[in-house]
Amino acid sequence: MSSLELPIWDAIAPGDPAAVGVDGVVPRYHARPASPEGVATLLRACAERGLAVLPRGGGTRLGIGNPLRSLDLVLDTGALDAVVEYESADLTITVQAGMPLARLQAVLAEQGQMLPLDPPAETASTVGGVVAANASGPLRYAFGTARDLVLGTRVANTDGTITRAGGKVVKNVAGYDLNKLHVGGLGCLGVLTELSFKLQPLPASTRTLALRFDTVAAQAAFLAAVVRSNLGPLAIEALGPTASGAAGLGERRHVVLRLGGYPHAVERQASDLPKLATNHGGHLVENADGLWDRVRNLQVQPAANLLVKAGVPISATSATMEQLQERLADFAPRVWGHAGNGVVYASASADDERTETLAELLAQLRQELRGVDTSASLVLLKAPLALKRHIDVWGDAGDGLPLMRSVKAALDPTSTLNPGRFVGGI
Amino acid sequence: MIAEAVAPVAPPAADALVHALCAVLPAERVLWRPYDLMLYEYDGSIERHRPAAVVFPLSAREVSEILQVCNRLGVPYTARGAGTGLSGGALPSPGGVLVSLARMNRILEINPENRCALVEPGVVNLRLGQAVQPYGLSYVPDPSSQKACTIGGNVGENSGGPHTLRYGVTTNHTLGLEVVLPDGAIVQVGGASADCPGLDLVGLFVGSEGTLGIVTRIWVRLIPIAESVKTLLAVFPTIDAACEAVAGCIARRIVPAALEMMDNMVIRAVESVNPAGYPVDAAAVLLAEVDGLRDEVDAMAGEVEAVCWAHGASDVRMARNDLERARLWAGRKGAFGALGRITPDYYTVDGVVPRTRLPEVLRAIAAIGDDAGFRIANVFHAGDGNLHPLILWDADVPGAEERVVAAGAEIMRVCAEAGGSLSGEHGIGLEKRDLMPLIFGEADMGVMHRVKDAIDPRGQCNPGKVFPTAGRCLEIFARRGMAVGW
Ligand SMILES: Cc1cc2nc3c(=O)[nH]c(=O)nc-3n(C[C@H](O)[C@H](O)[C@H](O)COP(=O)(O)OP(=O)(O)OC[C@H]3O[C@@H](n4cnc5c(N)ncnc54)[C@H](O)[C@@H]3O)c2cc1C
Repeated sequence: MSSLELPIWDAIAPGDPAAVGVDGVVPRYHARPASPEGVATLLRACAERGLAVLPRGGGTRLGIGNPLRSLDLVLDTGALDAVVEYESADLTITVQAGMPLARLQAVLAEQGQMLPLDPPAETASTVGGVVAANASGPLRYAFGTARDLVLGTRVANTDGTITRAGGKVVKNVAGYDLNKLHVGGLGCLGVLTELSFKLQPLPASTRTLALRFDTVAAQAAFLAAVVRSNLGPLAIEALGPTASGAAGLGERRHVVLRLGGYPHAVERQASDLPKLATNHGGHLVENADGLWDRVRNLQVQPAANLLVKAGVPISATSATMEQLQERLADFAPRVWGHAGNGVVYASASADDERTETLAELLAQLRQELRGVDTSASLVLLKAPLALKRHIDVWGDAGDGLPLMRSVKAALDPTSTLNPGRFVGGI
Repeated sequence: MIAEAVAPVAPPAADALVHALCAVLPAERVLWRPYDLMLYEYDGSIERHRPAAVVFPLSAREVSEILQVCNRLGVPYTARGAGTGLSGGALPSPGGVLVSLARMNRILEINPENRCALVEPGVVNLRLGQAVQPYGLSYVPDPSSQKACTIGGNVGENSGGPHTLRYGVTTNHTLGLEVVLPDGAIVQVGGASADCPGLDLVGLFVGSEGTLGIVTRIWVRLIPIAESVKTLLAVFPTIDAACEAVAGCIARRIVPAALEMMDNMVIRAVESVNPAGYPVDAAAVLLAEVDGLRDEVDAMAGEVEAVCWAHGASDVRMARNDLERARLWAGRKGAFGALGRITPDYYTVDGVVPRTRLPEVLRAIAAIGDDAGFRIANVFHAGDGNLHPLILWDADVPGAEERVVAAGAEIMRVCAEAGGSLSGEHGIGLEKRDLMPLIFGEADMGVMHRVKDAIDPRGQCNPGKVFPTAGRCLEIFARRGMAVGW
């Protein structure tokens, strides 16, 4: 293939060591287009030549997904890192997709604002990557996830067009909400080049509370109470013993609450929430500096090669944590979750000898969760390739799968983007 | 309901559609006589279209069977909730079947532990709110039409309401859906659990105006009712000052639970029908509400109040108790109805602009009214920048309708030019489909089209809505100086 014919291909260096492969597949090319138009032109050229493209932001979440069927080119969005329009008085901002999340937050903080999206690894992550992977953090309890914060998108499509959906205003129902397809779409339908977000003021004051519980039952009862209460913490994180240890709390069960808002309200929360914990057999413990950052970044754990996320109904959070802790006991698990949302994480160490056992175990867990609620799921966010060969990382995508396939076929008919990586082999 | 009141007489043998529908539903749940159909030829918008038949399914199965009949006979169909929609979304296509979800109106489950409820689409918005209240929970989206509109309709339009400023609109409170797809398949997308793998089809369906399928169950998110609420009414000598106070709140990073504006015409209408205590000589009032812990609401209300004074408010009143609070809100929620007293007809326009642009945009809208010779009243969700200019008119005046619609389109142009959107909550429907090129290019619409075709390849599911009609669209692309060739 004469790849250097078009000007756009100049940016491609064969075998660039920076273009790290995923799941053992090493791309032939690496491109870093300097403009959204460059992304679109490149996509079209790849689509026409039948080349498979992996869009890449900060590279922090490339492990998500099933092994690619093929990979020819890594499309790095890193050069698209500008602020397009910041109307701080409107509490909205439009930025290019390759902007690192931490840098965006720094820009916003100067104006006393924030994007209330706090996934781990915000320095290395780009906003486009975070949105495409639908990454979230503890603040989702108060502010929702990317789907609730993205107002508009610009997307480069494989037919070479750049299209917009949504807009820059905070309320908008004109046309289909195509933003939603790209949030969590993992770059399988198009490449995000620009995003508009709804912002929040930085809370006037914040505080972190750590509450210790001796039994699962006590922790669960407290969680149920706090979720129903209108005391309104910003985040409710439940930690199993090993996760507590990793956060520097001592290997017992904990609930870590993030408080924020008007100082008087934070005072009140800081006094009432521990009382509520006491009623349920828990107690407040001292927490050292930096606890909140450690809790937020529990996922970032180079030693663990397995990270799973369970999505369950809110009230099933504690039971699911317990279940994962017990069933993965042989694999050094660390379990924690966003208890106000029904999201549970478990990280563990998988070794090659026990791949099949582990795959069976995970499949079984999946079944059991489905028994709790038909929409429950267990997704492997990070897993060794050997394991990925034994189990679909997404599990059953439910009744909607045929529809998802049709949407994929309509928007990326050549299957140029991330072939095979998404649900159902999309 | 009408269906029961009318003795089922056999439809004319020639009407294959009605016969086929009666084969899948009991005859009393199929309307076909012209007299009965008349009631269903309108919604809250200006246009009228008479359906060929109206059906009242009770289950997803029945909806599926109805769609299969339509598919077999090549007949279009349209879902209808309460028909309060303002953009014509629930108007049937010529010769089409209207699928009324009004009788699928059960609240199937309220689960306080999971903070969610499972409802059928015909549940009336206010009824859901009342049903979850004893659990200390609320269903946030509260359209002003909440006494009549249905959750299914809310999902169709992605409806908002005064209290969606801080807590988000319908899409932010919809966890899952059961949908009957155009091919008749019954699918569940999303549900009570978080983060279902795959594409966010729930997010795609919400706000798709019934063009991608018919929703038969909805999992909604509930949130705890705030401990304390403060409601205040700020009175302004000019509309500009009120707009600037709104922009001032947002710029000072204050996001109240609700922030609504009413201008003098609306104030007078409300006061003449159902007095809420708004001062009739004010140019505009802002109705603001803050909620949270009792320890913070005073500070929050104080900040809003300070901003209002700083922008020239002539008075700021705090509701002292629930009764006063309810009265202030009753005025706002009844404002549309009250306008009926001062005008034979009014045309509700829905647009959004960045909040910083409110003052200039409202001035431009007033000028459009002056030029066209219409009075324009304003009652709207100011905190979101979501305008509702109400053009007062008289349908009996020949030629008035065209002029009203043209003035509405002009207002849309102003919103688009200010960097806004054609609709914040009422949808595009039939009303604004030909204005879509004001904010979306051909390629943008092309992607939407491809999604529509992927899900509804036959094009029988609420056709004619959202997408521009070919001819009109060319015209607008041309006027915008864009590439023509839609
Ligand atoms: C006085 C007044 C005040 C209003 N105030 C507000 C407000 O504050 N905020 C706001 O957002 N809106 C407001 N509206 C507009 C309207 O009430 C909303 O759009 C409402 O959500 C429509 O609900 P409905 O049940 O009447 O739906 P309909 O009008 O019957 O239908 C609306 C759309 O949804 C589709 N649909 C209905 N049911 C289903 C289903 N089960 N599956 C799939 N599609 C379906 C229809 O096909 C149609 O496209 C107001 C209207 C009036 C008349």
